[in-house]
Amino acid sequence: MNTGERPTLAKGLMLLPALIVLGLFFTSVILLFSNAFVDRGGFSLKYFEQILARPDYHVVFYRTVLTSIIVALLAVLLAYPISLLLWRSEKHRNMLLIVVLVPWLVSLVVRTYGWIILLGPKGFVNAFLGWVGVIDTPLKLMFNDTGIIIGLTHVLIPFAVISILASLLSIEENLEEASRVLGAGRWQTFRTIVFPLSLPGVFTSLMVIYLACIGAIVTPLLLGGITEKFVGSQIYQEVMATFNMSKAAAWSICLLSLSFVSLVLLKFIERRALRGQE
Amino acid sequence: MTRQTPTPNAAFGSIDISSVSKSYGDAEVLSEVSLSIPAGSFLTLLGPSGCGKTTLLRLIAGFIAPTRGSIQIDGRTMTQVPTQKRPIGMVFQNLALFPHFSVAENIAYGLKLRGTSQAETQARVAKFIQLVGLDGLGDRRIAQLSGGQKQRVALARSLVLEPSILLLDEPLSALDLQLRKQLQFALKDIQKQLRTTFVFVTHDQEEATMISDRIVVMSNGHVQQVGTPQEIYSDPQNLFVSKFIGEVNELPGRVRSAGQTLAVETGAGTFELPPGVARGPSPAAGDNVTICLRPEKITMLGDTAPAPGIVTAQAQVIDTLVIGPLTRITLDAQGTRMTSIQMTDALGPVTGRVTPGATVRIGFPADAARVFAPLTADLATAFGDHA
Repeated sequence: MNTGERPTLAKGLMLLPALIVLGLFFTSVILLFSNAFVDRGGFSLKYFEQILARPDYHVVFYRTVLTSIIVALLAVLLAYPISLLLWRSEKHRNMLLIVVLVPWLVSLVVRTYGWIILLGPKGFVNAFLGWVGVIDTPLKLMFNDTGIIIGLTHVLIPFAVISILASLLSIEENLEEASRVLGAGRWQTFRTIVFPLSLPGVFTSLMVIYLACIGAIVTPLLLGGITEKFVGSQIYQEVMATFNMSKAAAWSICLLSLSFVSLVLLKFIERRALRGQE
Repeated sequence: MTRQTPTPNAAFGSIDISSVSKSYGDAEVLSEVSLSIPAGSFLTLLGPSGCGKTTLLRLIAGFIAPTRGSIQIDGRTMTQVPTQKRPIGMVFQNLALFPHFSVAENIAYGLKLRGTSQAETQARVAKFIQLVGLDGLGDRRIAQLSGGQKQRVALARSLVLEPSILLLDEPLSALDLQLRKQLQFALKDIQKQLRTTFVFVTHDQEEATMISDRIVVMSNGHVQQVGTPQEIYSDPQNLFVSKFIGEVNELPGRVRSAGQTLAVETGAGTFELPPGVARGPSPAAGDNVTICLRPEKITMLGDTAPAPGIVTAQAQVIDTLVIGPLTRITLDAQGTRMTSIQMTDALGPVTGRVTPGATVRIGFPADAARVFAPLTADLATAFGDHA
């Protein structure tokens, strides 16, 4: 019997590239888990115990999460007015959007080196502040958490601008006018109508930026201090410096679980905040 | 809240528009519009798209400021008064309901802004939910409503504040015909109950005729005529209004002589008309003019001599169509297409002769005709799709 549509050879071939990619992905995940959980041929939690036993590693997790939260909030805070501006300026919106996105045309490493030039003890920022007379001794803006926060926020702001702008653009025409006719001033209208309706974009950007931060490697490596490690830079070090693949895998799984837990938590908060919105 | 909440009272709700113009760059969308809207009236701004009617509404609402001229509401000049302080409500074409609020929350929004107590807010929201016929739907989300229900929420949201003026920007245009008719009556009812001044914008002349006390016909940023639907229909002041409202027979011609009588030579014959039928600049001999005749004014004449004041012509019947009580007769008067609409019963004595192909004598009262100067080029574009 031949009632159903039979997969033909051509269809199978079209699926092939996707299957190869998926295959490689799952192989890597399986290798990751076998590296982390297998020791001398048997199941073992040795590498996790090694990580959990070290208080300085706890600090790495703690710092990664805290810094990521700060960066996510900071980026959204800075991006929101930019998004509003883009939303308002119908005529120049595309041009302004390009300005926002231009940093993405430059490689991450180059941009980060740019920050080193600006933030160093003799960099532009310190030189300027010294010249103006605000400070006597150079501020320590780099090779610490401040540097990481500045670097990551800069890299990730465009994500926030785009998703907040998308939310603003989906607000129906005339809602603001309707609110004003009903007696609300501009600020009240923003507070009760525009802002609540832009929240989906705010939450999307918080999530994307937070997740991008906790997995960040390059920025913490270049702008963070030697002692101020990120989970990402710690994994990088295990792989590239100590060649301890099993420990790197264990770190990765910890990071993965952390991301997952954070994601669930954020979704929960979002659901509560957006209750009533479709 | 500093905003006053006027009670529905004939004293509130008058609008005076004096020589208002609005330009965007070089384009003037409204020029020298003056209009006085009495309190408690149902006034419709009618015109083809791009005539400036929505611009005028947005000027009254205060979303935009006039380039020249001023607008007064209840005798107070509105130039410095922001939208939220004007005693107006507005229903938008896209309704602009707040999607993150429920039906009741949408209606309560304006009351809350005014600091109305919770008990009173609840009572008034309930009252207006009932007034617009949305009983039991207060907790619904906007997305769960049908088109007609959304319309009613938008209306209730504005009316609950008891504004002395309600601006409506083509609020019914997205609805199907039946629902539209239903809501037209609902609107008129509500307006009569509350005696709020309604300023309604539409491009649909039938809708305008159905619901309004007064119609303002607009075109190309100018007011063409203001009057009751009856006045606009039976005594249009120019060819644009005549063509835009209802059906009309146009007989283009040339003035042969003007004086005691106005003799106009057309393809269907030369007609002697009283000079009082001309509207606009008085025509002189040699001018190109158009005679306009409503279809119901053209009657079929029998063999008897026509009554005094009846102008006659010969025409051939092309087609007849009986639509219930009315009969629609398409005629050809020496190459000019004309339409006559008569009560089917009234045709009795001549029915036998009104058959396709037959030649009949038609007549119309001389004073029922209107003679207009031709359309200016910019007005003619409005009828591009009719031509």
